[in-house]
Amino acid sequence: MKNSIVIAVALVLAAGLAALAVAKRPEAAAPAPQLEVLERVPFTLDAPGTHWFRAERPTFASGELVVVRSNGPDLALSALAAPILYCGAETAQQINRAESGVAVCIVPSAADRPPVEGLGNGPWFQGAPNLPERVTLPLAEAELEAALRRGVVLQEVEAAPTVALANEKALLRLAADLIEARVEGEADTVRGIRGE
Amino acid sequence: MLRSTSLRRTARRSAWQLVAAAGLASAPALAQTADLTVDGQPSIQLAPMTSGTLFMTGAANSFAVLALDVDPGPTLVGGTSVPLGLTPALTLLPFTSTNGSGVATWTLGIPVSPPLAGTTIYFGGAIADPLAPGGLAVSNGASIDIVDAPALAGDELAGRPLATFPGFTNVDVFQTGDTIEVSVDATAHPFLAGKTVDVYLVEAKNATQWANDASLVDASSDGAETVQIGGGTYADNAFAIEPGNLPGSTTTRLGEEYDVVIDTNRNGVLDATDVIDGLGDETGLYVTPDLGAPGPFAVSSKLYTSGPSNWTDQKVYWPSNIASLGLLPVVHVSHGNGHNYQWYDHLGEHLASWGFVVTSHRNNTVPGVQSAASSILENLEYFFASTGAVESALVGHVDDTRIGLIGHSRGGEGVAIAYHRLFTGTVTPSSYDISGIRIVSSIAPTYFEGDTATVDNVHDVPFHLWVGGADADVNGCTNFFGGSVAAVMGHWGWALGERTMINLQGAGHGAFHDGGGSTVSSGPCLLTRPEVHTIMRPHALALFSHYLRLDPAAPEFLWREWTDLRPIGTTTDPCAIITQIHTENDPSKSFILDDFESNSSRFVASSGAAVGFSVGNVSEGPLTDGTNFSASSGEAFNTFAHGTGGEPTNGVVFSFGANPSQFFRYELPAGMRDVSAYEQLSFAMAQQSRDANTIALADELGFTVRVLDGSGNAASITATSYGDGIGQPYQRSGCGSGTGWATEFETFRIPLADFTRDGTGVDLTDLRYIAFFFGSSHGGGTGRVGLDQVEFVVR
Repeated sequence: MKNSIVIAVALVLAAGLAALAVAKRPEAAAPAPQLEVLERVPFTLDAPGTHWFRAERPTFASGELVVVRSNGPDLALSALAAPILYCGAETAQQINRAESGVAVCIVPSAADRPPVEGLGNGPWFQGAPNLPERVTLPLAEAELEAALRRGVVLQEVEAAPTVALANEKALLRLAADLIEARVEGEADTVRGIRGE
Repeated sequence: MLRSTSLRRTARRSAWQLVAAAGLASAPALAQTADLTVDGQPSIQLAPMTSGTLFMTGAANSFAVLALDVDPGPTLVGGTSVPLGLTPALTLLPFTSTNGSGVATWTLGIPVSPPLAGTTIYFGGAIADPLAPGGLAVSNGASIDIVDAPALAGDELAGRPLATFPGFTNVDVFQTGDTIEVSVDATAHPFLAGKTVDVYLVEAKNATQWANDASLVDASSDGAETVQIGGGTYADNAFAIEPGNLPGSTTTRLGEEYDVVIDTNRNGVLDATDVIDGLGDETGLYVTPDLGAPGPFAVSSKLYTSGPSNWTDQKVYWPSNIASLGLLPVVHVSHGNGHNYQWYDHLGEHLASWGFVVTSHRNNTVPGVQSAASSILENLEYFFASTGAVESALVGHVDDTRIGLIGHSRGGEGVAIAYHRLFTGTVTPSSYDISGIRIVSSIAPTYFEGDTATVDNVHDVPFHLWVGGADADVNGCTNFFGGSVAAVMGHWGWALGERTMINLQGAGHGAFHDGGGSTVSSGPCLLTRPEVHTIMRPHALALFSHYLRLDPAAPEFLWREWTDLRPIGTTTDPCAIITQIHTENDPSKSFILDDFESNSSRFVASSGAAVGFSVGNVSEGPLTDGTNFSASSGEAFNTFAHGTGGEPTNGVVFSFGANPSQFFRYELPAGMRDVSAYEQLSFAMAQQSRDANTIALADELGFTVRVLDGSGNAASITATSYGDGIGQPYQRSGCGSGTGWATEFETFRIPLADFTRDGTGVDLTDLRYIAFFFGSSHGGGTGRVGLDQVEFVVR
């Protein structure tokens, strides 16, 4: 009888220790997204700009500047057609060369689309190689659908306060500030924008 | 002086003549062993009021007799052939004797009266010689043609030697440091044969200036030359008139201008009997400085970013002393994707130092080439409409009638699309006119719109293309990832006017800008960015000087083979293999014998001339490759990349190697045979890349050009004398299987006068056949050659 009680107590203690061990095991980390949002800066424009990166060339009076880091795909600009960079169902205006793998992009809130909450959170993905100026809104939407089927997901990066800007020139200069802060090896890009 | 009284005795004989004739008749047979010349030649021309000297050579210190007659004979006298007709006009010249060297001389002056022009005087003589049979050595015959003093004549005199016939060829451009040589074709100028003349290199004058002042003042570094013109070959008569010490132009005109004068009568004045290279308003030759070195002006530049849009941002370069320079031509630079408008200092600084205004703008390339074209047009409009806002110093000094567009990569396609929009009226500028755009130049341009046919069409505006053989971005592969975007030469096919292409083996995509980083290159024997810029600077200067300034010294830098006219200061890296094509496509300057754009039969040229050939595997068709560069038996035009299909760019390709001499020939029909108004035969040739014959040759390819006139007079010229033959393709792999990148054409230009040298008799008013010969007898035992744009051109 005494042995049974000892065994039972031992079993209870063992179960408790086991539960404690499980409780203390660290959770497995989620893999970093292929295109990782580092920073979001919403903006407004007094004078609307033109979104050249779509065939429709819609205007835009707001949007986000987004800094994106590549954890795989090549974002470096080249002469030939490259995979289109999308943020949701919108083409992203890549500003810098991004040889370092960090791209500063303008994501417009285009006038021909309804506004998107958390615009800059994406999902970010690369579509088929093309010239952005040939991408239509239907094509962009189709690319998003395909990307979602592949498993791309929204990110949740908190946006900075909205910046009110006069026009696209001011927007480009703000982009230059982000390039200077976030991108290695593109001081000349910054100088070119600022006219230094 | 040849006494006129001597010729009045034509009806009677003097006692001396009778004695001489009798003596000759009774003498034993004599030997013709004395040598007689007039001014060193067996026959010369003399005009009245000039003189010639007869030289008879034989035994030393011996009696010498010379006679003249109006008939050359020969006459047999006592078994001896005497080189005179022994007519009643026979006249003995004063007896003399040979000197210690065995030479006797007589100097004859030609009188003005009576008029003797058209008369030929024949000479024969003898020298006492105890060793000669009969004791008298009889001379050969010699003659003087008395002609009216030829008028002042113009001819191409300046040039350079060639290793083979014709032994010398004319060029107009010399660089500082070059020896300037001159040659005289005695068969074209018989009056000069034997003459001792003075040769001047003078500062060029136009017709009015020569009329006002005909004095000859030598401008060479070593003074005027005194030479005797021989009657031998054209090559024999070549001599240097300047050892290379002239500095060249010190202004923004590329060439210091000179004329060359042969002062036949040696009076120090340009007048009758003289020959000039630079007759009338023409210039004889140009001496250029180092075109890669900075020009005469200091340069100012600024960044302008305060315009109304991002696409008005630009960097502007101009001569610092622009206030005193009047209107200047404008070069407008459009960068490529991922590039920066501040990456073109090597062009901006250089061209501005030579008197151009250069602006390099922010280009909207990331969305694509249509967007780039839009920003190019926006910037161009803004630049001319708001010049003062961009830079106040430019106001009143930018010439909107002399604009050159140059774009790189997507910017290179952007400038073509931009021009097309202006041409079709899709865009109508208000601050300039399309007619002001004189040249469109594309550096390694993409070809996104090539598949959609016409939007890349630059129509007939002069077009220029830079190609980097080692380009790892717009790499020239005609089927890259299933598309034609990388077909960098595609734009060539759409250019319908004057066009030029320069192909730099070993140059990568990024080597053309100055932004640092990778040169984006792939292939063997790569060039560095600084090396590529040593090529870009002088070539760009020549390009824009030609089209925006009509500088006469510029064009030769666009069509002469690189191995013949390599700009000073360009890299001597053996990897710098450069080929150039330049075609006129202009009826006012050329007669196109065959551009292969019509008459698709292999046996009929586009001009209607008949085509014949003994070369094999002849195919005529588009110089385009719609697949990759892998060789395929059914693909006649593999690696010909002047498009990907649909462009109006045809040519012919053929093989040889079966026997040592095979030809491809044109027969000119009546009505086309007079090509005397043209100065050069021009054609473009290439070795077909990745073809088995080309691979087997593995070398430069030589060939012969032969012409035949209606009388059967012919001349053959070895093309390798002018340069180094048809170049070998760049030995780069990729774009399918095999080695050898896109086929590279190069232009060959042969002066038509070269076919007439040394008395070939070829009549350029009646040219019947032009043939290209290939094979082991002509500089290459096997090969496969592309041919395009065969034309006669005015230089």
